[in-house]
Amino acid sequence: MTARRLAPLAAVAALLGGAASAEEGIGLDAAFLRAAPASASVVAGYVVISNGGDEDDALVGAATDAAGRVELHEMAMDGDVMRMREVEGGIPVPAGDTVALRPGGLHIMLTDLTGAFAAGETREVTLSFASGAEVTAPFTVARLAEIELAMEAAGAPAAEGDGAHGAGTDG
Amino acid sequence: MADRGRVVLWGALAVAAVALGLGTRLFYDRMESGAVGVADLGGPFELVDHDGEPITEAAFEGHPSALFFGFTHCPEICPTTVYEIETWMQALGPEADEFRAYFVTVDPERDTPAVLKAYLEYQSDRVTGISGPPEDVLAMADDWRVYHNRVPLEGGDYTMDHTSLVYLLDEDGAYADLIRYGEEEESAVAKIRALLD
Repeated sequence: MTARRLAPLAAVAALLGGAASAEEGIGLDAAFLRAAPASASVVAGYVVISNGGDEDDALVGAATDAAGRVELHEMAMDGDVMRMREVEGGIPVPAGDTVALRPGGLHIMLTDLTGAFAAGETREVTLSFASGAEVTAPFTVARLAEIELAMEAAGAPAAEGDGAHGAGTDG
Repeated sequence: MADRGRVVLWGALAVAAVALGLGTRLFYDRMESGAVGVADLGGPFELVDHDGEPITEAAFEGHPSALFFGFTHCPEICPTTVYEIETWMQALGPEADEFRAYFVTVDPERDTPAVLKAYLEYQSDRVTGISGPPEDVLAMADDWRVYHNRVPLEGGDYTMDHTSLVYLLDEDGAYADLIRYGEEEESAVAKIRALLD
């Protein structure tokens, strides 16, 4: 199972015909949505975001035709109690750094879904950054095991808050 | 002033929520150290399974079980727990035939039996959902000392904070052990196997 290296930003920008210089440096890898039936009310999305630029940035929003609303969430364990919250003020992506939205910590949550999310399909998701950059990429619909493997292969930093599980995800 | 009353009310709610959370934490700490008798966990209930059939505590007798609490509007931990239970059962192989798993909703208003059925069957054919009249379902969660708290989200929606433990019950339906969220598969499977021997 190899991680999908998503198109470099230049290519994405060219494709969209909306090349903004602020976009340079943001790269996405291991972009996934969790498989879910048509009856599902929510779906989690994961992605590894790298900032190759010189300026700190932050993920501040996400949107897709596949859902009426997308929120940035953080799951945290408080003892044995699971708490989920919307992330206030965005998810920082410092210059030269990589941030992982991966199972057990940060994720995007899709609600008001427009249909089933079958494994193997893809959905376009647009991520918005504080710098004004907008990056659209295909997110692959997959089961948890595949997502975990791809996150490992992508060298994703461990989830914060010790919600990590599975081989090798602990700090 | 109405505003002031509201502030006081929210303050009181916050204090109550924190106290409940701390109480739950303390309870598990003491339970693990043996200071709390686990005989108090659980109790009789009359609810509905995901096929709409009546279900009571008698369902937990005659075989070991896993019992956990969650909700279907939960993008992360609940599907992951169902996934992990399925993984444990696969690791156990035919031994798992004697083992049952139950998912009790902490969000009975939204999680009707039909909603639970669609949610669970997509992920596993070995987990039985339990719902019913909200008051009765939450009373069962309370009997198992499961923390549950409704948290409003933007736009009138809400999410649920809740205890993430998976309880293991012996063949009498009594508490025997627990598996923590994120626990290594080997450890979880060993705990279940100990109940199957």
